Formats: sequence, structure tokens, C-alpha cells
Amino acid sequence: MIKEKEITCILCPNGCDIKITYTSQEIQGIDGATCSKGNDYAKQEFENPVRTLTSSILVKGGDSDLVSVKTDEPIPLEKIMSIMEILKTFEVKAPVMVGDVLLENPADLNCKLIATREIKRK
Amino acid sequence: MMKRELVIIGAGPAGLAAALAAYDNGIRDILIIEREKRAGGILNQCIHDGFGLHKFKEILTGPEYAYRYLKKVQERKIEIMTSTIVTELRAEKYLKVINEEIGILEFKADAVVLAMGSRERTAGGISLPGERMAGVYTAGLTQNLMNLQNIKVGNNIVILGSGDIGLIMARRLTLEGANVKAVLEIMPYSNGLNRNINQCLIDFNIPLKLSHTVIDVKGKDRLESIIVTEVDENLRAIPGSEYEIECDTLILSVGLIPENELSKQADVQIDDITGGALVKDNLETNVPGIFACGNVLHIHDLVDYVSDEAENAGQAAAKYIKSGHKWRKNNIFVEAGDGINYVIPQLITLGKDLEFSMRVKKPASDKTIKILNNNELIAKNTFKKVNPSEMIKINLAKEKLLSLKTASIKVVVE
Ligand code: SF4
Repeated sequence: MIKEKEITCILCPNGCDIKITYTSQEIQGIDGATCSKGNDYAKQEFENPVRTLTSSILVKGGDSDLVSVKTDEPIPLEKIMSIMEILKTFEVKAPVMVGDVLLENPADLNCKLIATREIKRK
Repeated sequence: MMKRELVIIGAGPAGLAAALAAYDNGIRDILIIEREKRAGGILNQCIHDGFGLHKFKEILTGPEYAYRYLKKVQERKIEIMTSTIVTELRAEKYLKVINEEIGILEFKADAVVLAMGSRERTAGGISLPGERMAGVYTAGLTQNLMNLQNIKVGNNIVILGSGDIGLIMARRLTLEGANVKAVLEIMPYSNGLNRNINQCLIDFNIPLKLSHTVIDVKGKDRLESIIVTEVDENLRAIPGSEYEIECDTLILSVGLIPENELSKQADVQIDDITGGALVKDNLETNVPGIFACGNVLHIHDLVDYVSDEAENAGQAAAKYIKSGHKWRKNNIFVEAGDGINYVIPQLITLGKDLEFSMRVKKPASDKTIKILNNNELIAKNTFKKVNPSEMIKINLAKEKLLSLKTASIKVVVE
């Protein structure tokens, strides 16, 4: 049986509505994208959506209690909550510089957690 | 009283970019005044990513975007006075400020750039019935509490308004373990960017209820539930459609308003629609030597465009300082016509390539934006989709304005 899934391309303001037709998880056709970037995006979104996770973690001895962080690579959407679980209890010490690697391979994922904000010592 | 060449009010993205542009155009005596402890403005609490694609060809988080500008400002040794509030601004470019440590200071500037940003519309501004009680927050305040102060606002949450900050907070609260029950939007379409609806709501199965609003809030000291209704096309409640949602927190994401109290003190004329100053194509207000840029001028959806605009303001301020005020001739009025909510700038002059920023009133597809003079077409641009949440920019080459019939042009969408 052929099924359909609608995906809105978010890569540019055109916001093309892309239709993916598929049978038991195999893509039959991708329709509606104005440019080829949209086809790639729709395929990725269909097969394995990935997101950059941004959050904040506790920092000790700094001019702020929190330092904002992000993953250096987009990670599978389904893994986001398991990283949040790790971040809940994770803590670093001031000072922190923008770009510092704070954690490598959280939840065995191939990514690093990096600081997005400077925290000075108190 | 101290004399300064250029004083910039606000060290957010607009203020920082304006300062850099003024410096790079030859001005050395620059003072940026910031009321917070840190420069960076609202970007400091916008820890999500999506900034910088246009300016840096990379996707950055808010703090990273601010940091790039701040570093450049520091390299040029431009002075930023933090923890300082401007209490008075006059048309002669006189400023009175209060610094937390030093106390009161007075400045007389050759030029001033307004870059104060915006504030949030509150419940009072949108007529929310029910008593005032704990558990009702604005989205930006929630963001500040969570991302900068590590304060959690609640567990069971409903968000009213689908603007970008509301969508971003729906995801943020979910990530931090709260249960976001719904995002309600009174309009039949969302006011947020597509990207945010996808990545903040659909990713986490948060329902977006269009044509819905809150008509009552219940609870004693703390919010316990809200009464929700569907609305018709005239935004009136549909009788019988009400239902109750239990929640301890209601977050209002109902828009931003340019923060222009100081501008008004200085006799800067304000546009009723944008809530910001009326400006010429060099972003100068009606008061000579006072310029405006960023969210204090009109609300932007992309910080990259704020930076662009602020660079123009900084450059224009530098020019003003170096060559003084010149009375401008050949002024042309710009009018927002059918389907267009507003156009910036509102006043242009001949002999210059121009860039207009505008918003449409309603979402639609396959539309043409036309620039008319005396009902004759002078330029047009077609769009697959237009959306009130996405600012549209249109360039106009100076040659197009050579044979105008009247001293005004009109922008329409058809
Ligand atoms: S498919 Fe291409 S044109 Fe359409 S939204 Fe995506 S990037 Fe833009």
C-alpha cells in the first residue's frame, strides 16, 4: 500500500510543502520541493530527523548560575530526552569560554556539548 | 555635563552593530549605554539556535551571536557603560543617566542612536479576564527566569499566543520536564515561523489550537485552570464551545511592543502601526541627529535583519556627525496600501538605492508586491508565500524613481 507524508521544508522562507509517498518505509517519490535542497531535507526528515539540542547546565563559582550549551552536531530527535536526562545533574566550574567542550559523546552519541556563553569567575 | 560624539542607547544586537558601523565609518568617540549588567540584550536569554544564517552563513545560538559582535566592539575599545539607565532624553540630544555605582551623569551628544529594543505585551494589554494571580507569566519573562536565573515557572502549562517566543518556550519547558498541554492562538494562523512550529511543537506532539483563546482563569492564589473557547472569523467567542484545561501556569506570548518612552520625551514622532519612530531612508527620525534601529523601530523576526538595519543607522549617524545636518529636498512619502500592514522607511529621497522592510496583513500564496506611484507600477516582486510573521524586504534601484508623478509611493499586495 502506498502512503503519504507531508513535510514542510524549513530551509528557506518559501516553506515548500513536500509530499513523500512510500511503501512499508521505502520512499517511492518526493514531490513539491522547489529546489533539490528540499528533497534532501525531506528524505532526512522522513528517515531520521536530527536536531541540534540547545539547553543550559549548572555552573559553579561563576557570575551566573547557568551556562548555555549546544551539541556541536545535530543529533537524532529521539535521543534528545536522554541527553536532557544527563544534563540535569551535570555541572561545570567557572570560568567557561564560548566554544569550550564541556562533555564528549553524551549518551554514546557522536557529538560534543559545547558552551555558547562566557561565564567569568565570581 | 560631558560632550560625546555618538551615544547609543542599548547594547543589544542593534546597539552593538550600530556602534561597529559608526566606528568603521570614522567615529571614535562612541558611548553605548546599557541598563543590564551584560551587553547582548535579549540574545543572552535566547539560548536556542537559528541566528546568524544570513550574517555569518552559520547557525548560531543567541549568546554566540551576541558574543561575535561584542568581541568586535571590545577589539575597537568602544566604551559600554552597563548597569546604567537613561532617565531623560531631549531633542537637543541631551541625556541624563543613572549608573548603579557612579550615580547621575549628564551627556550632550552630537548624534544619538535609539536601540532600546522592545518589551512584551502583558495580560493588561490584551484584556484577559479573571483575577491577577500567581502562575501567569509572559513568555520572555519565563525565558529569562529559566535560562538565566534557573527558576522553574510551573509543571502543567498552557501557552496563549503562537508567536516565536511562545513556540520556543513550549519546547524549552518540555525539555526541562514540564507538561505543555497546548498552544492557543486566537487567529486562524500562527504568528510564528514555520521552522519553530515544526521543531518546537510537532517534534514534541504539542497541540496548536488555532482560533482558540482564553476567556477566564480560575484559582485562588495560584492558577488552577483556564476556560478556553473557540472563536469565529471575527474573533468572537463561539457560544457553547468553551471547555476547561487544568494547568498551574499560563504563559502569554502575545507580541512585543517597541519601547519608545524615551523617544517620546525627545519629541520623536511615533508611527501608530509599528509603535516605533517614523524614519527616513537613513533611519533618522523627525528629530535631526536622532536615529532608530532594531526592535525599537519595528519588531523583527530575524536578528540578522536587526544587525543590517543597525549598521545603516550607525553609518548614517557617522555621516551626520561628520557633515552636520542637511535639509533634505525631494522627500517622497511611502504609504502602506492594500494588504500591507506597514512599510519602513516611511520617508525616502531621490537619488539613492533603497531597501524597504514590510509586513503583510494576512497569510496568502502566490502574491505580488507592487510599488505604485499615482497608480502606475514602478516595481514588483512575486512571492510563493507571504506571511505576517515573516518580514519582507524589497530593493528599489534609484533609477526607478526618476519620473514620479506625485511625491508619494504606495506599496500593495495583489
Ligand atoms: S525546497 Fe528549496 S525552495 Fe522550497 S523551502 Fe526548501 S529550500 Fe526553500
